[in-house]
Amino acid sequence: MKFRFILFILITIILILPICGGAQISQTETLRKELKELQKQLDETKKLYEEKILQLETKISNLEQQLQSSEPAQSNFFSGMSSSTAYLPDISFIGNIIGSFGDTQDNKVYLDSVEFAFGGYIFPNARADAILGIHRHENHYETELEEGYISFFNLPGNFGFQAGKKLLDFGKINQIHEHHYLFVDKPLAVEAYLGEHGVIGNGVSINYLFPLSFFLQGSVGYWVLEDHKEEGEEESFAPTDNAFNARLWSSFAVSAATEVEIGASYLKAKGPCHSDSPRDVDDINLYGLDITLKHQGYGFRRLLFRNEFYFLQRDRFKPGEIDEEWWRKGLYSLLDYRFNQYWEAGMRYDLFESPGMEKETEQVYSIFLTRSLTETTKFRGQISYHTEENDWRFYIQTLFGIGPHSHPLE
Amino acid sequence: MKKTMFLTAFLMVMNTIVFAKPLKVVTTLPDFASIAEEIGKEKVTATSLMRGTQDPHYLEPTPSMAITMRDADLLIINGMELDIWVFSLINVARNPKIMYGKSGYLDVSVGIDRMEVLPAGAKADASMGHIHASGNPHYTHDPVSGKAVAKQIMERMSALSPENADYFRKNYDDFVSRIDSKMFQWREKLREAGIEKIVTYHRSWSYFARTFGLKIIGEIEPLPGIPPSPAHLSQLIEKIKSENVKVVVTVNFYDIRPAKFISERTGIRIAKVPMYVGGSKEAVDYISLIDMIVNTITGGK
Repeated sequence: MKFRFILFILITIILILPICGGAQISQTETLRKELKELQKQLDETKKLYEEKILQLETKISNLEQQLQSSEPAQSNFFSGMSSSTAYLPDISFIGNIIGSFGDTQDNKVYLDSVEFAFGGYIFPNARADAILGIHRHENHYETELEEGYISFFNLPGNFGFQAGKKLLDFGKINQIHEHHYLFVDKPLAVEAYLGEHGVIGNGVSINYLFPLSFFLQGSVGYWVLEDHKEEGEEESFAPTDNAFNARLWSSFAVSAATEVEIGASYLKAKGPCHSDSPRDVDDINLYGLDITLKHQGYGFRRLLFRNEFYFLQRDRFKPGEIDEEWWRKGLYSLLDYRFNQYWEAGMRYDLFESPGMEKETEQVYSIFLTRSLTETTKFRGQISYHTEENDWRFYIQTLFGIGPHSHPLE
Repeated sequence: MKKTMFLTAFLMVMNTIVFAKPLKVVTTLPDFASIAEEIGKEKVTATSLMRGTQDPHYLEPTPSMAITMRDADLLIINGMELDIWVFSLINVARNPKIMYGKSGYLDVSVGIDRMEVLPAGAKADASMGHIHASGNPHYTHDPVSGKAVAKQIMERMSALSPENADYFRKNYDDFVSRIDSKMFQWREKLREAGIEKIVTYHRSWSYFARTFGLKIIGEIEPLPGIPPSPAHLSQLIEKIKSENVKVVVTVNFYDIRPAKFISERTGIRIAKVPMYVGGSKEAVDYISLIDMIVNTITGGK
């Protein structure tokens, strides 16, 4: 019996011991896991704090460097500055120095123009822009308000509205200011049919963005055109008097990098030979077609191929003279390539027929090279050959700009 | 009665169709489109106006970009005067949802810890190069700023599409935790490769350097946007030698010749990196872009 009892105790101990041991082992494992978890959390917190400390240290060192580099500037320029720039318009200034050389040229370098541009929002979805120009005419300078207009971008029904004095929406180049050209001189056809300063008028226009899957915008306007002739300036053809214009502008993305734009424009106005007498007629209808291909490649590279065609119909009658109606045509074709942020080169071909009664035809071939210092400061050289006069012309140009200068979508 | 029931059912179906439409997000830079896709997944369509191989300073806006923006629910811009060209497009697109100040207009630079901001009233002009008065705008390829961008996108998309707010939050948390776990690997890689000091082409690496504790000892451009002169490069070469700099970082669309000139005279390694998503075939999304940048800087180590 005693032996049986001892055996029972022994068996019980043998059976219970491993269970107790197992329980101890599993408890140890749990504790080890907890420890591991805590260590992991500690590591993560440590890492997080190290990261924060590093960021703060770098920030302090950056601020110290910034302070060191900006201290002299602060003492020079901060005192007396206006406390707020709110509600101030964007103001910019652009100058254009040209040198023209050749048998028929001035053979000198001169400041051609200075323009001051002011612009800003006047209301949600509406802005005002004004451009004041000082231009060289022969040997003196004339100041004029080139443009001053308001634009409402988002009227009900997908309409937009513009009113004031502005360059008319005709073709691609008419709305571009000369300092923004990719070449020095104005294409002959543009100067011949739109006038030396472009078609500028006082009036109103509305535009409509068609709800299509591609870009199609139409605009119509009614204007009183500037009779822009300065003293000493040559008699030249330029549309004038009351005018009506219309334009359809479409654009298609051929690929992610390439866009093709096609536009058609119309202008009905008077020629410069009309008078107030209803018997003196000089009616003009000007039609324009523009096709542009733009490829924006890798980095800074950009290829632009633009063609604008003009067709002028002129109906002129003076008492005692025969009623005459004639058609004239002109075009320019531009190819321009930007290699990098500093250099771009291009070539242009001009063809035009003079808008007068006697038809004269001229062709011009030009090449040009531009070196940009900044977005608004550039040096440019251009060589042009006028075939009819067998005339070589050489141009140099410096454009310099200060201030933010935004342009509408071209 | 039947008519009313039919009308109610029709409106409910239309309502479902309308709300089922993914949120249309248009961004100026591809990095924002990538982050918006990470957060919105199939509930957004994100389109970038700029490609990753382009320089945003020099992008020329096109009319087709305005059409892309015309029916966007959300426009995300870099701000700080980098993508200023977008404003002419906003005017043409005539989309009241994305006009300045509206809920569909998001300038993510607002939530960034900005660097190199000129003090209020400080003079800024071209004598200082092409600087941005509101600060250095090149923050996109810094993952800490990337997280701040993601937070703003998540919040704005949730406001515009509240029924998907939880989904956007979940995806945002996932994106942030992936960045956080990658951050450790990126730091380790840079540490193991012994990269502590760098030279860059343009002043576009300040945020990246701050996050990874790197010191920029100089730039190839003497001032932002100003091409290097031989005198400046000589000074830079001396600095590289004295500071024992191992790598010059240049974005792949910049002229490589100045970096090569320096490399030939100092033995410094050139790291030619993409700057935006899509800037190289490996940089397909935001995280792979940073992977690519770190791998290239460390020489693939």
